[in-house]
Amino acid sequence: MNTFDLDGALANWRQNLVGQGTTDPAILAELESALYDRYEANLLKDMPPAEAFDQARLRVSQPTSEDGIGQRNGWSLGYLLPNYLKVTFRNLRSHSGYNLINFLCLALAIFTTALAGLYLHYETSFDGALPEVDRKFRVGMNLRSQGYSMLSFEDYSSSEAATQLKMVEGLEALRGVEQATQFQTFTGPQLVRLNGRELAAEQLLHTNTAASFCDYFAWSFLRGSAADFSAAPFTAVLTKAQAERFFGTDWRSTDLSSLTLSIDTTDYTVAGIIANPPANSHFTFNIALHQPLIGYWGPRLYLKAAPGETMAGLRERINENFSTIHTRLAGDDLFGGVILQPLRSIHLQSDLLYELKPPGKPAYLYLIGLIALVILLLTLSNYTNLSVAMNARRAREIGMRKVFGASTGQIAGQFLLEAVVLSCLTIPVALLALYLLLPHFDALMGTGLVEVAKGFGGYWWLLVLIALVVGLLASVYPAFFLARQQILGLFHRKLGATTGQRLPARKVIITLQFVLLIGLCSLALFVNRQLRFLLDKDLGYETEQILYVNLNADSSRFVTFRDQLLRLPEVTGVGSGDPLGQNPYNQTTYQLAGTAETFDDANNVYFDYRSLDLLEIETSIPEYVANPDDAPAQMVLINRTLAERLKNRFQLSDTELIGKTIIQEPEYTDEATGEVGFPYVIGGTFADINMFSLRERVDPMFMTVYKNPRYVYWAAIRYQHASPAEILAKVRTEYDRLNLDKAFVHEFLRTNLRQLYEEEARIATLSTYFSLAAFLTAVLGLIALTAYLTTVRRREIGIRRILGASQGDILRRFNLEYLPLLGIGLVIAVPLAWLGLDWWLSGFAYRISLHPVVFLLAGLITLLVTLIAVSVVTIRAANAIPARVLSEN
Amino acid sequence: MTPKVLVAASTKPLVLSILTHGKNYGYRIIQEIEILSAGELAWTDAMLYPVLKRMEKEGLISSHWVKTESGRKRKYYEITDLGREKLAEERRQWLNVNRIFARLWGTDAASFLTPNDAS
Repeated sequence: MNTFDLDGALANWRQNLVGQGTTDPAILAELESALYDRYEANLLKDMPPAEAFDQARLRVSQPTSEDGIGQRNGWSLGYLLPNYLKVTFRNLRSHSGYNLINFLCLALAIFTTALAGLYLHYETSFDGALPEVDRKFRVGMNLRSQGYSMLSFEDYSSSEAATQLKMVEGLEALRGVEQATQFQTFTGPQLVRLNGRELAAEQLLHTNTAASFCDYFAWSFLRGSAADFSAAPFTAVLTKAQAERFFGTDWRSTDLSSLTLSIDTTDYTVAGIIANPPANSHFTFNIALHQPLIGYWGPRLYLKAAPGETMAGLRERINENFSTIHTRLAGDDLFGGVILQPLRSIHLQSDLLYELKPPGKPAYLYLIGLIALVILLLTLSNYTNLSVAMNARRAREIGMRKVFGASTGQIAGQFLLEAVVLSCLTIPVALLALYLLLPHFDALMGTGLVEVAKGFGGYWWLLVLIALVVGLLASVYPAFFLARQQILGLFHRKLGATTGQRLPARKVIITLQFVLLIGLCSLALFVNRQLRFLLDKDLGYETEQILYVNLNADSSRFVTFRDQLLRLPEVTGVGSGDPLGQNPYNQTTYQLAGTAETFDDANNVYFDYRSLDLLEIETSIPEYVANPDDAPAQMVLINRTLAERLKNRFQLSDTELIGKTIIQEPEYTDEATGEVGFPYVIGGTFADINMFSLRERVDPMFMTVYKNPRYVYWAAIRYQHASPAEILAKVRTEYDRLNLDKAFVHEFLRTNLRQLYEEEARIATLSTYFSLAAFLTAVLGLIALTAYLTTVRRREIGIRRILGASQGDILRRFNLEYLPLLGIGLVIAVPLAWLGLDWWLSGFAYRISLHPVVFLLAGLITLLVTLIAVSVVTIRAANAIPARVLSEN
Repeated sequence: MTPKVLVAASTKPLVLSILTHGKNYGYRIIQEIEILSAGELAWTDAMLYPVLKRMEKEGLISSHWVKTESGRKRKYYEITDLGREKLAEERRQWLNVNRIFARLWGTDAASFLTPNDAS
């Protein structure tokens, strides 16, 4: 016969109850007393003991929520939380050094995650704040084989006011188009007179559709109104920043109605002041001018689709009806249809010509996100490593908790809470770092994160969320690893005694750290090498000490200016022509006379002979370059790429090519003369030059060389023995003396070239900083871990020293433990980094090759840093007097 | 079944009322409530003990452990002077509510019909 074990059943019941969270001893005792009462009452009803106990147990253990007090979990947490927190702060204090390292790493991780999050939010939120943005599109066009971010007017720059409005009216007349608007921006500075001040203002905007322009982009008027601006032409709207330039901080109290804004000889009524265009908008401007005519050959054209219209459907309808919108283009064989771009996609996806702002690069977003992730992973692995090692000493504490009935979840909760508290304590530090560093980040990256962060209140809650998530992630492994230890094992052995030899999980984590470090180090090395390569590569012309100055002057004034400058001892040459180091522009069609094949990929450039000399461009006409006075008034040269193409295609020799006629734009026929295109005789060749960034390959190029150009937009000045500031001051003096263009605009060729790689330079700087941060995180983690392990193994080190091991032996032994892990890290990291870098480099027409030595260098740097970190810490332990160490226990 | 809000509101005065008849312990309090309510009120141990603990903390009742004949311990509760004062106040409030209901339902039950019900 089975006898009922009341004591055993009671013990089980007690354990279950504690596991469910009921741990107040007074309540437990009373529940137990009640259980006895019920059990005895059930026995009196002649129930068998086991059933009597079961019935009683079911009643007593029933969870309840009748009056809110008995809600088990809330009550339990409320009761235990103060104790959890007390233990948490006690433990944070007891390992203050190691916890400080964890604190710093967590602060760094939260800061970088927040920064990366803010940056990614900024980059992906362009134009997102516009009302009904999903229905708004920009209209571009395909012409020849290039895509344009704008369209040309029917008669280009000579279009009448009514003709300029034809596209907007044509679009608005189409079914499915709710609204259309157009404008054009002008980046160069112009002198603006307002409020008794004359200042150079950049980024002026012209629109002849003022009402729809205000409505479409929903400008926020701080003074005046959209109605004032659109009521009549010759009105102007200033942005807040520009108003502050002209009126100071009291622009709000200025009476606008009496003000006139003048540019050259045109006067505008000031119709209002608007909030600055958001930094994350795909275009910007300082002053918007409502004019009857846009002073350019084409507008930026935008439309708003009717609800329910698809982009593809709308594009098809526009193309089908394009003759009603733009008669000339519709009949042009080179026109390849319109391009519709959703406004939100412009910043990250546009690759069209004449973009309003340099577009963002998704690859760089991935990169920043990836690096932040790496730092986060490093921090998590640091915390995990150090936490497992540090808390190994708490085996007895965990054992005692378990004996008193604590569940695995409760013990894990204690460790999770410790990490979350630590990471929450880092929030003020991360916030302070963001406050101090965001303006610098904006200056480095050309972003407006300060503005975005100010306007994004939820972001700070996101920071708290990040801290909570980072804290939880960091502590998940240590919490459950420690909480799941068997009770007996916790008392029989100290976890600390095994930390040095076992725990393969930690070795995996350290290997992962090495993978990340080597990968990041390779990335920083290659990005910087590629950037140096881009800046140092021979572009086919001289890049140093060349200054460009805007002239907008006829030939005689240019010659006077040139002669004046040549008197300066620092100036060695003055020429005229297109500034080099530009963004790509439109290409032209051409064919060799007498052949039928038309190509469409050539760029035109214009220089005078003197420019070729000062830029040291290699040509087949050196005698003319040396003596321009003997040269023909005008001749056309082709670059080597084009020469090779023509020679190969039409089986010509070098000498046969010279003198051949090439026809540009053969699709055009002069109605008066019947002449097809624009014929030029090939006068010679020149070596390939990289006009644009090295992301672009060198395409065929025509160079028109003049002896005396009729009109000069830009003068090129070569100088020596002078700093940029000195030569600029001297040139400015001559410029002003001749009373040339009012707005003096200058560019140094070297600066132009640097600006072409601004994005790469930013990313190189950023990846270097982030890599340093990652290194710092990893090294701190490694130092802390090694310090802890050497502390745990002080006894082992002492015994080794007594048995005759030298400091060197101990150093070697400790360092060798990391070497295989580093080797594995290298094997994993190199292929991954190789793939990533190869993908990044494929975006450049000219690039460095991925040399294995650089990866080895990255491995070596990681090894060196590891050796130093481990050795410095180990040497301290090895220096301790062995007898003293051994007597400690 | 008695709604939860009513159970929550009545627990404290019911416990105090039972304890005015003499000291008592948890299991028997639950039993007495079950009998008095004809099974309508089924308190659980896990609900009652935290309430008793809170009432003790508020000074409404006091407790002491007593060793039973079988040798095990049982906790007995007694009402305190403060508890009696509290009960008197609760009693006044409950009777007041009861009086209102009695008048309303006892004299003119139809007046409780809403216009919708009447139609």
